Amino acid sequence: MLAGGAMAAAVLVLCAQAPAADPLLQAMHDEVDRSVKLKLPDLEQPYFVEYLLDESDSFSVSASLGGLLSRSRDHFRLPEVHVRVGDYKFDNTNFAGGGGGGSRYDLENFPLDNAYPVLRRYLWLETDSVYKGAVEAISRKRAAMRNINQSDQLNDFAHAEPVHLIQPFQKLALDEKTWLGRTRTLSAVFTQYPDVKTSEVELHADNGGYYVVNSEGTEVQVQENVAFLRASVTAQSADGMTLHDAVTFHALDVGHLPSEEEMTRGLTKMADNLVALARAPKGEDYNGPVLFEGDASPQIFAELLARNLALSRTPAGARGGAGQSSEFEGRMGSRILPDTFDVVDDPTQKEWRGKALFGSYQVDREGVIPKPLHLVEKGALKGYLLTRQPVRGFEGSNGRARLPGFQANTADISNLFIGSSETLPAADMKKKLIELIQARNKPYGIIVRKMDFPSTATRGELVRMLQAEQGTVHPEQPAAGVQGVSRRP
Amino acid sequence: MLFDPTRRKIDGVDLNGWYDYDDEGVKGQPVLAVDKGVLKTFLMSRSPIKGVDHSNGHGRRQPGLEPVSRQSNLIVESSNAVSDAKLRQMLLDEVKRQGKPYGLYFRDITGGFTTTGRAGLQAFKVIPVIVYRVYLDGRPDELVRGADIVGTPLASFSKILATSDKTEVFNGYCGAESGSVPVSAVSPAVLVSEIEIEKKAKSNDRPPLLPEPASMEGKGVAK
Repeated sequence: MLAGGAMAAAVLVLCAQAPAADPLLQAMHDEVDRSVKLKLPDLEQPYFVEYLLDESDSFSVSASLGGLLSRSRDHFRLPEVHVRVGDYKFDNTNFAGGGGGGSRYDLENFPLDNAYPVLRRYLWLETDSVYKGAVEAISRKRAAMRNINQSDQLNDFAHAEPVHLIQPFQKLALDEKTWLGRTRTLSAVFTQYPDVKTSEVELHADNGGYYVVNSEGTEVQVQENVAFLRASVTAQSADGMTLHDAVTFHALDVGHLPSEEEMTRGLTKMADNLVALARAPKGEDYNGPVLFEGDASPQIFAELLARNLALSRTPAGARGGAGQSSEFEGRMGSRILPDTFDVVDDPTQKEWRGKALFGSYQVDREGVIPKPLHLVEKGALKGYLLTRQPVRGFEGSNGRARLPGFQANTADISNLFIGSSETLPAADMKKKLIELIQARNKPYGIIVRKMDFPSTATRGELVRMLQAEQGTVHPEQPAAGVQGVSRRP
Repeated sequence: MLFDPTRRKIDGVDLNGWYDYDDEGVKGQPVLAVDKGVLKTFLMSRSPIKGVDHSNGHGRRQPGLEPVSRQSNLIVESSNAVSDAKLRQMLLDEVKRQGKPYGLYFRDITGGFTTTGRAGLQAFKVIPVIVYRVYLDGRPDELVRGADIVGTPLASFSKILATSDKTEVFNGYCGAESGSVPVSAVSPAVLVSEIEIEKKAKSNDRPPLLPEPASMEGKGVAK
């Protein structure tokens, strides 16, 4: 792996034909070169071919009450082949009726070994199939567009500079025996808690990343390593309400996870909290001052802002409101937060106050280099998270293609920093809360320290919530109050 | 026709359908299901049926599923056995007698399925992979593709004219409501006077547009 400084200097080299030592990159490069010549009689050739391949080398173990539940060591490669016919203005994508078509070659798992001939062969057949699907889709799209009144014509794909950046992956190196033992030991913490109904401790370590090679000349290999240890517990109150909590320790590799003692303290604290919650009075509907502190504050901003900062595009021909739409759409320049607030999304920062940041990356899943984005200035919305898919009012990626999506990648935040020009010392925040409670003549206020975000609910619970609330899930239910813990209403 | 889970090998070949105890903890035992062409009993799990109230050690399942009665090692023996050369001659004689230009010789199949449910069709389909035409006029045997064997189970079995004196072992897996279980079938070659063949469903996909990569590798980097 390159050092941080050297990497920044290596970024953005316009490349015509990069010599790749890696047989996988070489195979992707050679087959992209050849695939732009794909042609069916009377139909167009591709104007853009791209291979995006995710690779993961992982180890997982889970345990409960001191005994193993599962362990696995896994290695996979997952390719996506993107073929666009037409041109940047109008192509086969952003169309609801574009799926299917193409030949089927029953290709199984993508080869794990770097054997050049078999890599080429797989890409060759998959690209052939996707190309045939693409020419079918653009014909259907052309016909369908005659039946649709289109108010604004958006282009289908934004241009981007070719980028060349190679960060070779690191093989996952960890002592499986040590981590089996540690996971078992940590899971035994809950044997001390008869009131905890179910508990599980899971360790997951994953090394890998993604490759992007396209016909514009981009060749990218981006490393993404992650390790976490997560403990989840459930309990039930006397009236039958199920309560759950989870605690997760994150690091970029297992070596940087907190010590066993520190994690044991974290698990114990969570179990104590859950037991207190199960015995706590039931919360009631509340309208009054609330103080979000600790984890709860970044959690609520991530939940409320992240999704709305990405603009989605409804594919042509989609009936009804397909996909999630952003509440911030069309509100560029409007005030969305108090005017003391600034929000910056910055993937170039690698750590903050000594803590490694998970949202750092050098090139996104479309081969675009991200820069820090000032999304909110003095409370006013100043920008959105964008990919190469043009959306109303915006064309051109700012390097936020971070998740797969329907026919296009989905934009997401990297490291989101929320700052305010008007701050109080942390200790004074509670004083201020009590002042507000008195001013409003309320018997009590609420402090939220931890939100259930991302949700720790089991799938079954989420389904029950969905059914109960008819299509609205609010995973941001407070899991714990403080002065007198209360359960959620 | 014998089902025998206690046999581990036949003529030195390992058998896939072998076990000591079935998945209900009942000791595996040989079951003579058909004796001299006459059906004598059924393969039984611990679920009784009318007339048979005991397991004969054939309650089997894939892990996680409920056991039902399943086969073990199926061993077919025949008293009307002839040499392979004689069997081939009998095939040609039968072709001639029926006034056909050729007969079919099935060497290998990938698998098949049978439905015998009361509400369903009583039928089977076998998917052969190696099939030859055997001509009367002495031409060499000709490999053909795209044929499936179909039929009704009892009608087809009653048309067996003769068998070979050598047995062949087919080790595989049998799938049913209790999942996939390892089984074997041991049988001599059989000559059937009449069998139904149907054309395989065929793909109309256009072959790949670009030639396969290796054929282009003059300049490429073969690693």
